Amino acid sequence: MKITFPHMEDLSIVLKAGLDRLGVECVVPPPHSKKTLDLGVRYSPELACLPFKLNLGNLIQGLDQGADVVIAPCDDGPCRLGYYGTVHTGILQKLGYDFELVLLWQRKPTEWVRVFRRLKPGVSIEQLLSSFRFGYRKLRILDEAKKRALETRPLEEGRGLTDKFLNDVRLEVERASTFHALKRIKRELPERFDAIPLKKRNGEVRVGIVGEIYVVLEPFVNFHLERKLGEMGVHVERRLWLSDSVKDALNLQPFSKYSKRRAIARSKKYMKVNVGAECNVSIGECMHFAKEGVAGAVHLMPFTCSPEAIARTVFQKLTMDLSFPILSVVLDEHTAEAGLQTRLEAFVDLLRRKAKDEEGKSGGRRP
Amino acid sequence: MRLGIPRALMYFRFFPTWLTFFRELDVDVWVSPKTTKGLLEQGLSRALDDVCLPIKLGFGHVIELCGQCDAIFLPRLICVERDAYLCPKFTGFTDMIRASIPELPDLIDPIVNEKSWRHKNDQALIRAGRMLGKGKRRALKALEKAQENQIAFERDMRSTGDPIATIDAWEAHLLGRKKEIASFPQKLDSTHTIAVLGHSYTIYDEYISMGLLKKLSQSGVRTVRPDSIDRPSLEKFLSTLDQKPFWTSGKEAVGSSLYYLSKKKADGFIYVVSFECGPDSMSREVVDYQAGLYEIPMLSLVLDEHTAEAGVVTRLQAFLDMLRR
Repeated sequence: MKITFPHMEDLSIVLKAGLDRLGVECVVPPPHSKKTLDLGVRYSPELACLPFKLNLGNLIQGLDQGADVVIAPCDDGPCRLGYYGTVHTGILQKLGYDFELVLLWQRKPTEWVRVFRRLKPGVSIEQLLSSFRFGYRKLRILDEAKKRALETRPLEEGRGLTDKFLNDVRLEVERASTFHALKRIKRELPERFDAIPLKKRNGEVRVGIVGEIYVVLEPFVNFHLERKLGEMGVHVERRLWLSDSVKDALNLQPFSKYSKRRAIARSKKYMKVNVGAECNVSIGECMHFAKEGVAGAVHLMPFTCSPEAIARTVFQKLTMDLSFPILSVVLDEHTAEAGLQTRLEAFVDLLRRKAKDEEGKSGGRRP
Repeated sequence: MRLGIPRALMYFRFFPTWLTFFRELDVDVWVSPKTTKGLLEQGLSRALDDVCLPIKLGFGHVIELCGQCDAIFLPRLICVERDAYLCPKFTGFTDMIRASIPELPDLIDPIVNEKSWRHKNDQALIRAGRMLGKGKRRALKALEKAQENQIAFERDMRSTGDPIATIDAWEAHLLGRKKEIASFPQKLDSTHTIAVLGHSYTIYDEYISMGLLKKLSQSGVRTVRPDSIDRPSLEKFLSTLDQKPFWTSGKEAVGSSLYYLSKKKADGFIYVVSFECGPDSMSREVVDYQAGLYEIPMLSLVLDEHTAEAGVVTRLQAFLDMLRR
């Protein structure tokens, strides 16, 4: 029995680590590529969203490498993601693949235990917990490193240094096979990023990233947006992290430091009810950014994503009310990198000019 | 006090409840006129292009009501049944309207969420009554009548041969224009039956569906729709699936397609989808898969504001010719 699963940022590292520790064999599909996207687009319904298409591409590539069990996230709505697994199965069966579908119900941890017991009969709760903790710790370290990279990237002296470090950390985390090794990586993390030579802070603009979680997290889809902005000398802020999302999926949200709930509560002025997915979170985050003095935000959404379309409509009013510029980027398989680059440069120019104008008005440099 | 109700979206499903309820409470109810090109263009001018055609049309109807009414009834519909959501756009519709139409009058916007004990449909309507200054006792009485009418309307829709005429007849009756509700029996002489799957607000809106149902009946085909089946048998067929769709529209489309397929009661499917419809992008794939298993042909019509009638007619004729072969 070989398990495969779709990618979502670095989720594969986590799942592989956890499953290896459990002693279940798994096939990690090749990283996202043009081929993945082509495969996904060819066999998906045209109106499906980009994450659906990429996930299908991942599964096809994973099954081609000999997997015979597919793990798919599953939810009872209202986002389409909850129904991916079932529709993917229909499409893959039509293509002639023979496999077993295992649904992982979000927010139902007891179901997860049942599922993993079926994948590995006779496994104890302690073993399960330990493998989950092992995977989760890897994820935390990766997110920690990425947070540090956000700090250093706009200020680094030699371009690409931060990303080189980040890549090293990623490889090391992926290779680490004991808790001990992970502890060491975590301990060394601050030192390594501190060693990057930095320019002096010179009032660089801050830009927030909000939007649908898959496209915010996945660099292949958003064309390394964070890196792009960082290299323009922009300080990027983002609140959506995979580790929080995993906690959310396991119903452990109250224990995480950052909670979506706060953003949702903040969005009450514009949204009386919670629409689901990241709609209210996007709105709440933008209101928070505006208050904190962030210059603007980039809003990412997959084409045809309903909740984010609502957010985008509401942004029209929010932008006016708070004079907070938001650049909405709709992503699908036809989005071109050059187009995005141009729009980003124009947006950042606009933010810089706005900051300058405000400086002039207040009659001097802001602290 | 005049209360406006846009003839769009869930109106086509719940108008007997809404109209009866507000009329029993002695509220002057004003329903926006039937969709026209002008109405749609009004909507297009305000709505962003990321939303689907019915929502853009909903914008148009609300704008139409703006100058004419003192308040608009725009419930925030989250769930209208226990185990399924509506499309997120319904939940966010009221807030989208609030954000993009500044000249809006008061909104009567109760939350409808059957999953929560505080926001059941009945409570939502009582709350709406309270927003209009009507007491709970009167609201409860009106509610009883409203539910009676809703059940009778749904029964009529199950047996009718011309759903749009039935809707018109009910509407005229509820708005006090006509005493009797005319009935439109099914024609039994047609040789073929086509199941038209899709949301009530697309297939029953003659403008955006381009008179699809009328065209079909003119060419001598009997049509059945998701609302021609009673709820229990829909649920029965849905429970054969591993995972049920969790949208009301998806459940109806998939459940009714399973019903028609396994009872061999339809010779072909026409799935009417709006471009950028989230739930339908998934449920259409499931219906397509099931129809493939039973070897029943399916035509899927994707509608948006650029769809031309001639294109729809050509495809429809080709599909019917294929069925009659």
